[in-house]
Amino acid sequence: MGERGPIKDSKYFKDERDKFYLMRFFRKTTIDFIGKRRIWYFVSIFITSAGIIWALFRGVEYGIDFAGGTEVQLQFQKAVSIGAVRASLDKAGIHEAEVKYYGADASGVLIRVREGAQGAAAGTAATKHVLDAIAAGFPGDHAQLLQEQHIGPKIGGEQRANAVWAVTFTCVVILIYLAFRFRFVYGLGAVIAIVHDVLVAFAFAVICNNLVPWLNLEMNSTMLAAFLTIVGFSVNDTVIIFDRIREDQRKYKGQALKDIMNRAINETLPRTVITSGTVFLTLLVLFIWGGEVLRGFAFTMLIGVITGTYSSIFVASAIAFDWLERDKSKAAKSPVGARKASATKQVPATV
Amino acid sequence: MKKNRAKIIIILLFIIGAVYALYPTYRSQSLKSEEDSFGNSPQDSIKKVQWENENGAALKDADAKAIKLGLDLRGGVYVTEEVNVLRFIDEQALQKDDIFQQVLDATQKEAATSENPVVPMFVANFDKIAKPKGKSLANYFYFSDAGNGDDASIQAALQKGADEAVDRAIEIIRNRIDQFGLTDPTIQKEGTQRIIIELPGVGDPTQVHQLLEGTAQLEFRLLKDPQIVKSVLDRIDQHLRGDTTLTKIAGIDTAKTDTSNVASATPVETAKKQDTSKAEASKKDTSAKAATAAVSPADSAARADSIAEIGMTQQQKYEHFVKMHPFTALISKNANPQTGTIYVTEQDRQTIKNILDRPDVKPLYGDEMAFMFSRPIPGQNHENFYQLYFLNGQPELTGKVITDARADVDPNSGKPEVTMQMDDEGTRVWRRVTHANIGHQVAIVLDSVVYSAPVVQSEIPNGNSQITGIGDMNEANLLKIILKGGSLPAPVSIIQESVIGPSLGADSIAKGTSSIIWSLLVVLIFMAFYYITGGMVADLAVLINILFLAAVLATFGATLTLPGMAGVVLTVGIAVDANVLIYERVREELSLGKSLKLALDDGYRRAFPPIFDGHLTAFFSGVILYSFGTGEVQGFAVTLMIGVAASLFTAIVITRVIFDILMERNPELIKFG
Repeated sequence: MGERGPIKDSKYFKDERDKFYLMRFFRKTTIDFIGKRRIWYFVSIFITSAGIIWALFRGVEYGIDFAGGTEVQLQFQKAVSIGAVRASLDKAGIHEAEVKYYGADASGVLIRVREGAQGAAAGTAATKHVLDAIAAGFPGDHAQLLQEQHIGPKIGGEQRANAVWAVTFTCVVILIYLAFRFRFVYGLGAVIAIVHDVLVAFAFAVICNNLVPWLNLEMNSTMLAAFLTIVGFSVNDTVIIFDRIREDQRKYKGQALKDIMNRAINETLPRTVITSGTVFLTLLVLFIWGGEVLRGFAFTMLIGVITGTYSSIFVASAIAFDWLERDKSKAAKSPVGARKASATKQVPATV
Repeated sequence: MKKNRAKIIIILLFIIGAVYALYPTYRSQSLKSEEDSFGNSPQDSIKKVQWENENGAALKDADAKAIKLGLDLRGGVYVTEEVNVLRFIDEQALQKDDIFQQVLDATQKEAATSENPVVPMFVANFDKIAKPKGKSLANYFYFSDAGNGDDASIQAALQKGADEAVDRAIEIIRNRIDQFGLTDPTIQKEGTQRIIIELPGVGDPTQVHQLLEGTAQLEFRLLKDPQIVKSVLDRIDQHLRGDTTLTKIAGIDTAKTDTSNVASATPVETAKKQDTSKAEASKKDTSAKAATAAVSPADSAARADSIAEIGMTQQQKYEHFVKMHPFTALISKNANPQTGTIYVTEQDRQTIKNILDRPDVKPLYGDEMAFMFSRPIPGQNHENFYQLYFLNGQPELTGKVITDARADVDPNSGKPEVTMQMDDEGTRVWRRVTHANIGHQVAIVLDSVVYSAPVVQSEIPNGNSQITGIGDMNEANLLKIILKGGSLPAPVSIIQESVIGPSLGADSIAKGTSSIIWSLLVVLIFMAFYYITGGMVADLAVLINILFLAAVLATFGATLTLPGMAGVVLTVGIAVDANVLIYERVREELSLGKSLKLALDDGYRRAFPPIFDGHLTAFFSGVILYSFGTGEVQGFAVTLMIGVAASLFTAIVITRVIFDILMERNPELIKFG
C-alpha cells in the first residue's frame, strides 16, 4: 500500500456516498415480519394439510423406481391415441398397463406394467412383451424405444425406504449442527421449516401431478434429489437469518427480541431476494428449456425456492421467536426459571 | 501484494492443475470428432483403420482421463443383478429336512425386503428356528476346510462360498461382455451380493438379457492336431484368396512390415511374461508348435508352394504369401515364432471372429474345429492381446463333473497351483483322455474363452488333478472359482434395469447443456449488472468454480449425469449466493460510512460465518444423498459436494485476492453498484 491509497479512498467515498444507487432494489426496509406470523402459520398449515389430505384420498403416484415394475418410453413417428396403444396391449394379453403421454405432444408414450400385472410377462421379459405388442399393433409406425426401466419389487421398496431415511437423516444432522452452532430452539425452528418446505413441495407435486399430468411429477428418485436440494436450500436461507439475529443480539443488547428479529430479517432481505431470485431464474430456464427429464425436478425446485425463502422467515424465525417468548413468560412466573432465562439471555450462544 | 503472494501462487497452481486435468477431455472430444469425420466408403474405412493405428492409443489414453458421461447422457443399459445366495446355501446342504426348509423359507421372506447379507441372515434364522430343536449347522453342512466344524467355522465357509459365487458371476459376466466387444463396460460389485453393470451405447434390452442370463458352459477341450489345423487353415485361405478387403487389412501391415514387426515383438514379450503358464506349456507342446509352423509366414514362404516365388525379395515373398494365404497372414501377424503361440490384437480378434462367423466360411471348419481365444492379456499402450487356440470341435468333458477345486501354493516349488477333484463318471473319462494325450494340451474353456491350457504330464487315474505353471495367485484363484462353479447355472437375477435409448441420450444432453448454459448466462449477466465490478469478479469466481468442479470430476473419474448437471446449476446458485452475501454486507458497511478498504475487510469477515454454515449444511445433505441414493442421485450428490467445496474457496479466497490487488492498483475500479 502506497501513500496514495487512503487519499484516493476518501475521495472515492465522498462522491460515492451521495450517489443514488440505481442498481438497488431495496433501500432500507422496516417490515414487521414477526408481527404477522400468525396469519402465515395459518397459510402454511392450510397448504401442507391440503397436500396430505389430497395424497390420502387421491393416492401418491410413485415413479417406476419406487413402485417396481417395467416402464417403457416410446417415441412414435406420428401422434397416437392412448386408446389405440391400450388396445394393442390388450390384444397381447397385457390388461393392467398404465399408458400416458410423455412430453407435450401425442407421439411420446409411456407404458408402465407393474410387477405381477395380469397377463404380462414376469421380470425383464415384460419389456419384450410390451415391445412386441406395440410392434404388432402399429405395423406402419416404427416406434423408437427411448427408455426402458425394470425395477424389481425389492429394489422399489428399498428405494422408498431410503428416500424417507435420507430426508430424516438430513434433518437430524442439521438439527444437531444448528443446536451446536446456535441454540437448540433455532435448530428446532430450522428443522420444522425443512419439514414444512418438503411438505409444501410434496403438496404441490401431488396436486399438480393430478391436475397437470404432463409435468411428470410422480415420486421418483429425481424427485428425492429435488426434495433434498430444497432441504439444503432452506437451511442455507434459515442459517443466514439466524446468523444475523445472533449478531444483532450482541450489537443491540437489551432490545426486544421481536425488534431484533425483525431488524435481522430486514437487513438480510436484499440478499434473500437477490439469491432466491437468481436461483429462481435459473430454475425457470431449466423448467422451460431443460427437456422432459429435468422438468419435474425444476418444477419442484421452483416451489421449493419460494417456500424455502418464505419458511426461513415465517416458520423458522417465527417458531424460534414464539418458543423463546413462551420460555420468557414461563420464567417470569417462577423465580428459578427467571434466573435460568436471564442467564441464557446474557450469554448468547457463541461458537 | 506481498501478503497475498502465497495465496496467488496457490490459486494459480490450482487453475493450472485444473486446466491440465481437463486437457484429456478436450483431446478426447477433438479426436472423436476427427474419427467421426470418416465416411463409410471403402477408401475411408481404410483411412480410418490407418487413423486408428496412429491415434487409437492416444484416444484411449485421453478417454481414460476424460470426464465420463453417465448413461443418461450417452445412452446405454444399466443393470443391477443380484446373486441368489440362498439358492447357493440350499445347494450346499447335504441333507434337508422340514426344519431346514423352515429356516430357508423364513430367510427367503426376510431377504425379499432387505438388502442385508444373506448368510448371516440365514444363520440368525437357523439359531432362532433350528437351534431350539437341537440342530446345529454341522447337521446339514460339511466343508473340508471348515476348521473344527462348529457353527462359526461353517458360517465362515458358507460366507466364503457365497463370496466366490458372486465373484464367479462377475467373472462370467465380464467374460461375456468382453466377447461382445462392447466399449467401456463397467462391472462392479455393490454390497455383498449385487453386481452393477453399465453398458454404454447398447440400446436393445433383449440383447442384454441374452448376455447376462443363461447358463455358463465350462468345458475341457483338447488342442487340435497340427496337421488338421493346417489343412483347415489352407481350406479357409483358398476360399478367401482374392478377397481384397482381407488382403488390405493384412496389406496395411506389409506396407510397414519392418516397423510393425518390431513394434509387435514387444507386446508379445510382455504378454509372455504375464502368462508364463501358457507360454511354458506351449513350448513343451508339439502340437502348438506345429500349428504355428503351419501359419508362420516365413516357413510357408520358404516352402515355396509356387514356382513364382523364386527370385523374389523377402518383402515380395511376404506380399505373395499374404495374397495366397490371407487368413493365415491375418492371424499370424503377432505370432511368436520362438514359443509358437499366436497372439492377436483386440481389433484383429473381432475381424477374425467376423470372418469365421460368415456363412460361407463356417462350413470350412464346421464342427471339426473350434477357434477360441484366451482372456485379455494386457500389452503396451493399454492394448489387450488375446491368444488364439485351435481346439477340438467337441469337448471331452463338461464342468459338471468337478466336485471341488482349490488354489494353493505348492510347498516344494513355492508356486501357485490349482487342484481339482472329479466325480466317478468324470474320473473315468478323465483317465481315458489323459492316458491318450500325454504331452498334449487340454484347454479349460468357460463360455468359449480359454482360461488355461495345461499340458497333460501323465495319466490321471483318480480324478485328482494338479494344474501348475500358473502365473500368480490371482490367476490361480480365478481358475479355482471357475472350476468350482462347474456348469451350475449362474444364480443371478436382474433386479433393476434401465435402458436409455441413444436418441433420448442425445436429446437430453442437448437440452440439458443448452438450458444450463442459458441459465448460467442469465445469472452472470445479472450479477455484472447489479454489482458492477463486484459482479464481474463474482462471475469470474463462478466460472473458476465450474472449472474446478469439472477438473475434480475428471481427476477422480466421477461420472457426469443429467442430475449431476442439475447439481452444477445448484452449485452456481450457491456460489452466487456466497458472493451476494459478501457484497450486500460490503454495501451495508459502506452505507455506515466506512472506507472501502475497511468495508471490504468487515464485509468479508462478517459474511464468512453464514457462508460457512450454509456451505457446510449443503455439503452434509450431499453426503447423505450420496450414501442413500443410487446411480443418478449419487451423481447429483457428487457434483453438489465438489461444487460446494470449490465455492467456499472461490468466494472467500479468490475474490478477496482479486479485490486486494484492485485495491492496491486501481481502487476507483471497485464498485458494488
